[in-house]
Amino acid sequence: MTDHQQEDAFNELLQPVYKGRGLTDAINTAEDKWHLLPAFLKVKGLVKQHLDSFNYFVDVDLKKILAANQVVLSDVDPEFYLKYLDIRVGVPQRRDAHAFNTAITPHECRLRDLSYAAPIFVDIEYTREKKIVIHKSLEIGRMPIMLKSTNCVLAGKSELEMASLNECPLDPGGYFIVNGTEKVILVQEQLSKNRIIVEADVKKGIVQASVTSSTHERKSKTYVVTKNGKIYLKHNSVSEEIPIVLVLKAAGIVTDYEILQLVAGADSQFQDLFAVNFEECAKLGVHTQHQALEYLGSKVKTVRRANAPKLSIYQEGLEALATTIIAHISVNNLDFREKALYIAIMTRRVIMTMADPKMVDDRDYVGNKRLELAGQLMSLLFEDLFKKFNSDFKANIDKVLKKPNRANEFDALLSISIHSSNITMGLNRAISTGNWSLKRFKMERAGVTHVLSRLSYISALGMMTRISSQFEKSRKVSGPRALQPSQFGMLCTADTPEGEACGLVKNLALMTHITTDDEEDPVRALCFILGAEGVATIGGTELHNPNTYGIYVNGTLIGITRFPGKFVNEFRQLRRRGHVSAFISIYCNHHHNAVHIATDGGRICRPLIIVENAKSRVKADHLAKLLKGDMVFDDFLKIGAVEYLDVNEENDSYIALYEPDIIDETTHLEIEVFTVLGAVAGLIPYPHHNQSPRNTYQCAMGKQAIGAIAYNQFNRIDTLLYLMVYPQQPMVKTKTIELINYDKLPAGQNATVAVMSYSGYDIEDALVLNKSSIDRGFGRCQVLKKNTSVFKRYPNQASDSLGSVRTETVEKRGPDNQTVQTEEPIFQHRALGVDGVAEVGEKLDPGMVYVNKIVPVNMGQDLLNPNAAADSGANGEYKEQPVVYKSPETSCVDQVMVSSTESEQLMVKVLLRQTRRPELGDKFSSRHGQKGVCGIIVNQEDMPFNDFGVTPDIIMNPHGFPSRMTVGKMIELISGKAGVLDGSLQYGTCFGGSKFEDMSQILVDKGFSYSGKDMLYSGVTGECLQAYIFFGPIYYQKLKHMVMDKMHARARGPRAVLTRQPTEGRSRDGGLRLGEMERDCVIAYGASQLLLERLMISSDAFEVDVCQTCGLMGYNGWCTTCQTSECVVKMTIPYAAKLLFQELISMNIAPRLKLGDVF
Amino acid sequence: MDVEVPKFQNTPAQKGINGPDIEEEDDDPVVKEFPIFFSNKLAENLNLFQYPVRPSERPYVDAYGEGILDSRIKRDAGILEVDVPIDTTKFYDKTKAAKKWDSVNTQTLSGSISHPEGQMVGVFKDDELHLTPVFSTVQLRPQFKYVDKKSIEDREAVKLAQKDARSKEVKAVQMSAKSTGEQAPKYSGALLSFKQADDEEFVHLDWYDRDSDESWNVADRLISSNKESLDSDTLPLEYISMISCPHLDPSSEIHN
Amino acid sequence: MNKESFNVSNTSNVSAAVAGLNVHKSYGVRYICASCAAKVTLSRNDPVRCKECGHRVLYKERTRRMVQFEAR
Repeated sequence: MTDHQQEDAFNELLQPVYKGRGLTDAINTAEDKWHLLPAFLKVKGLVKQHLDSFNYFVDVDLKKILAANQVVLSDVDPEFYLKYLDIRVGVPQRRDAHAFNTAITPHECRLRDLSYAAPIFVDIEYTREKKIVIHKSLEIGRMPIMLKSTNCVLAGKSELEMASLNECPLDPGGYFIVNGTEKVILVQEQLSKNRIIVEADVKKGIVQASVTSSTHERKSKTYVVTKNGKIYLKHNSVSEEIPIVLVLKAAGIVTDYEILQLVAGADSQFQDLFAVNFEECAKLGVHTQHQALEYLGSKVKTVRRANAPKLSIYQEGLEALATTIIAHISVNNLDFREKALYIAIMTRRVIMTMADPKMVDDRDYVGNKRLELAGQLMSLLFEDLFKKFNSDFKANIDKVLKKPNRANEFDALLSISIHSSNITMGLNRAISTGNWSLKRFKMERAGVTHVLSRLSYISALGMMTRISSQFEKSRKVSGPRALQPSQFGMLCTADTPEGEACGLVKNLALMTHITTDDEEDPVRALCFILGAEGVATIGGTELHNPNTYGIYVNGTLIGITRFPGKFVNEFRQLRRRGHVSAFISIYCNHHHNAVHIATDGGRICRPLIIVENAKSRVKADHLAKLLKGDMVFDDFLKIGAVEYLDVNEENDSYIALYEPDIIDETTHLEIEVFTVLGAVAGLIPYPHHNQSPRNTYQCAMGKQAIGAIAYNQFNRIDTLLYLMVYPQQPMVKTKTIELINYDKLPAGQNATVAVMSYSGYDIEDALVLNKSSIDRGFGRCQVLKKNTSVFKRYPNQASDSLGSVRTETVEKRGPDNQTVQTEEPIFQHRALGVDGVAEVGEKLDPGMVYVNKIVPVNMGQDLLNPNAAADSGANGEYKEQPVVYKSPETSCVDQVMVSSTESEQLMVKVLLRQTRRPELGDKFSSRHGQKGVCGIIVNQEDMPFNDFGVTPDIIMNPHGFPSRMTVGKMIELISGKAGVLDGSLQYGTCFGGSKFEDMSQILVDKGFSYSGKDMLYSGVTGECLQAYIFFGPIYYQKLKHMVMDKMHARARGPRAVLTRQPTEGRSRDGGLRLGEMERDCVIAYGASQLLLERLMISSDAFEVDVCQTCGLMGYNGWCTTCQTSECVVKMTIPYAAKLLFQELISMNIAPRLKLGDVF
Repeated sequence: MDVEVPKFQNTPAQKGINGPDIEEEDDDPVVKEFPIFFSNKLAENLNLFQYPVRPSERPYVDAYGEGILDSRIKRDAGILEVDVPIDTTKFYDKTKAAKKWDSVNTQTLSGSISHPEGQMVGVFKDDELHLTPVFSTVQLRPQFKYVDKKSIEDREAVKLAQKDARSKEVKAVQMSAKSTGEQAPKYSGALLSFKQADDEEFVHLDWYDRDSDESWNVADRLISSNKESLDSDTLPLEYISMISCPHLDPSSEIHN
Repeated sequence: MNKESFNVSNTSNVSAAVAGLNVHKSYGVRYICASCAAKVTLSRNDPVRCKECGHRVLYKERTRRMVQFEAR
């Protein structure tokens, strides 16, 4: 099952004549080792994280969840049980069974607003009338399937096969289709679980170590805090802080001597700091383990369910210590040693930080973070829904079994089928709303899913590599937003949005992998074989000896070793040989005297070439085999030439960037340096010559560029789709562009640019465009908008329907100059066809109807005569509810699709198309963060021209360069010019690319200046311009901000109902708000009457009658409270003020107005 | 697609596995060689007792006046208890002990038995090293049972007094039908282990002092009489595959 | 279906064509199946399915009226 479509594309890259290098050419490892990169992407593409995680969920996690909830028992009938044997997910199918072919394609789901879901099958075993019945393949719900995962129809198909399914082969996949919309579950970044993190607050003098324990059952946080120099344990389930010595005594280390040994060791400074705590415990009169457990039990907040047994205080304490506190190490027998050691280590960390405040943990270090993928979130959701399903089923059974007399035999099967929609609806709702609310873990997370943005191909790809952080967008802390050095190679350094979410939303770099869970127990056994001494036989002195290192597997101490270097080396050798999983990381932390081994999932890691004895282990013959196709990336892992390092292990290594930099201590070599950037930043040519914020701006703008979306873009019906009429691939591209296939779906055009001041309409980044270039199609785009009409069916057999065309008699002049009466459709219905829907290809003007929908009248509540409702539909009393075209510009009807929804209702989707020329106000940008708006469109004859007669398409203002320092753009121009003259595409890869000297040489060879400057003649006067002009091709993108969508004016217009103020928003013909800060500016001028005009007279002026005696409002000159007409005065106040007074009155507060004379 | 897996011999990569090659390093010459023998005679019965609170210079032996008086074991629960005498001459409050704890003069050390793997005890005899595998280890710590007993007794007394006071009042009696059987307290995990341990009875063990003749006789069995050379049935590659934990890719396994 | 060729030149044809619009109101409209590209004729209240392959997505055929575009 190989990925044919990926193979086709990548095989091109691996062809022997790639980059002009034949099979027999000498392989230079320094230059050619970058070929490992396409090989890597072939195996683990950019979107592989999502696919692997979902595959793991469907294949492994589902079975684990089933095993944890396997049996359903009944309280009423002890003999009844239902056991789940196996669970499987099928291939996505249609809902109704009686169809010609049940397999469904994702594209059909998008068009028909269905969900792309596959049935979940279970095998069950249950009792029925004293017999045990096994039933196979019972459907209990439908699970949405991620596109291109192994259960998807598209997995492993070649380009041709995908085309026959109407799907684009370059589409990244990795998203769900729910109710016709494409939803992505973004990668979530969280702090790692089950690890000790120490924080210090220097001002308050508090040091705190915390562990967030998270197992399948519960999740809680345990703190070891200091208060006035004394150490306490804090936890949700205990009502008060408990002295740490007491907790250690409760955990089995009874003697003070041993506690001191375990926590402080032989270090006198630590001993001094810790000694105070013994007094705390002695003050409470607790000396033995039993007393300690009793004290603990008395402080525990019990949450006991109804029929669970009631425990004594001692037992409560025991239970709390054994299971709740530090939940991820649970004690099931009498041996508390592991837990005691863990608490002692936490305490020791606190003492170390009290002594040396620099020993705190950095919360923002990437090694302390874990990434949660779609599969994990789906498994939490599914577990919760499955448990609910089981409990509903159990309640149902109990209800039925309680009845003493049952006429027919009870079959559990029927009851199960009733509840199957719960799972389906739950999954669909969670993915479509993005609200993950699970009672199990008390999780209420919103914004988990997002609609996949289809602005351009890059925006869809960029969304799949996005990582969203768990931090709230609070402004206070700047730590999480800053760039971390540990991000190098793992997270893209340039790609982050500007504004609110800056630094919190990150993107993955090009060559990264996110690990999945590995089994921990074999690793533990291996550690002991490699010479670790277990904790059962050691004490405090051995543990804290300066030469012994503790060995921690996933944060838990399992043993010690006196030869850490040898231990780590041997472990790494085994891993490089393939005997240990390649994703298990091991590293030394010399501050804490610890060797950490990590097997958990969610760590981010990347491959590096192993260097031994100052020589790289990847040799020329390996690369030759790779190019020939005899080796794949995983083979490099097997022979121990390449290995995966996660962030912590990277910290422990010495990595060289290039082969000449290798020295004796070097342990690893980078495969390719440009992989430090991600997919979106890879678009930028020569980014290493740009000021870095400009690269960040480009990363944001590249996602807004208009271009080609996918190969099937003309078959897609999206709410809003921008397409470029003539897209071109960039002249100066990068290796990343080839790897992500941007050159097949580009989003811009190569424009000939002259960098000069011209016309004066190019100030502040505005651009001057060439009218003839625009006439020939430069920057032309199409905007496609969709409109859906669903024709509902009502319970009394009536349904929405399509009306007919109304005509009118019109006098028209015939060919022989007579006036003839003809029947013509009225203006609004001119585009409609016989069926009441607009004809495909017709032009729509504002006001024209394109779906003539009619709705039966009197549907719904009519309590007075309920029979009327029953008749209306059948009688044919319909009301017209047409869909009218509103926009000021004409559109064409591009496609009309007629289909039926899931519930067999008629659905009509109309796709409207507008072709837009670039006009004044449309936004363009190059690939270097240089955005600008079209300032003026100049005729070609007025444009400057060079010796060949070439006029520029765009004239850019040179003032945009000095402060922005985007030298990359200038080099792009030179490389592009050289490429045009030479007939070849040039490379602008980061830290590499076509060399400037070579490009200049090409220019000189072809007769142009080496600097890229040309002699231009003025188009207006015909004279030579008195300076040489920088002239050449630059790739320009048209951005989706077009003036037609934004221009808005209002003189007078609609008002809101409640406040009688002008409405808000362009779509509602609204006004522009004079906000608080603008009001402050007007106040600063002292223009009080202007304020009055803007805020009252032009907005919501309202005349009220105010009574001078009581101060309340009356009407028609009469005051109701005083029952008199005297003292009633007319005043003009804003309607919003009158509304405020009335609302206060309704709450029993009397806002009485005191009136005085104005002047 | 055959990839060459380098053989398990003397290429530079494997040097790490075997540790520093003895012939290569001249700055660490071999000083002495000992033959190693494996003894199985005490294999199932060799238990390691550790006393974390006691420095090794003052062991619990008769020679130091603090020999172990008595020992007990609960085999299923895995609890071992040992009694040692308390030196009442120094660091001992006679009046308080007499008042509160009946002049107790023995201390109980208790520990929970664990079975770690891969540990052996070695004995040198005549330039020969004899190894015996350790069956179980216990760390014995003082458990102040007398303090607990006293505090429980005090609490019972208080409860009794309270009950007497309450029984003088007249209370309305409420009748309710209680269904039994299912409501019996069901423990799990640590609580269950503790309950089972409480239910089990101690089995008495006879303790022989470190220097006694019986001990030395048993110690002789640490020496192996079998001097044959041991040949491993497991090939090196098999052994490596037994200890390895490679990465399992579930999707590739199931769908390939 | 009858060919409604929209010949602007002939007056009588215009009236006939317009009349045709109204008269054949309840006649079927031509659609194209999304998967097999077969021409399907459906009238009102027919279930929306391709006659040949049962596919449920149908596109309306392009109009036969004349549409004039500006070459701008």
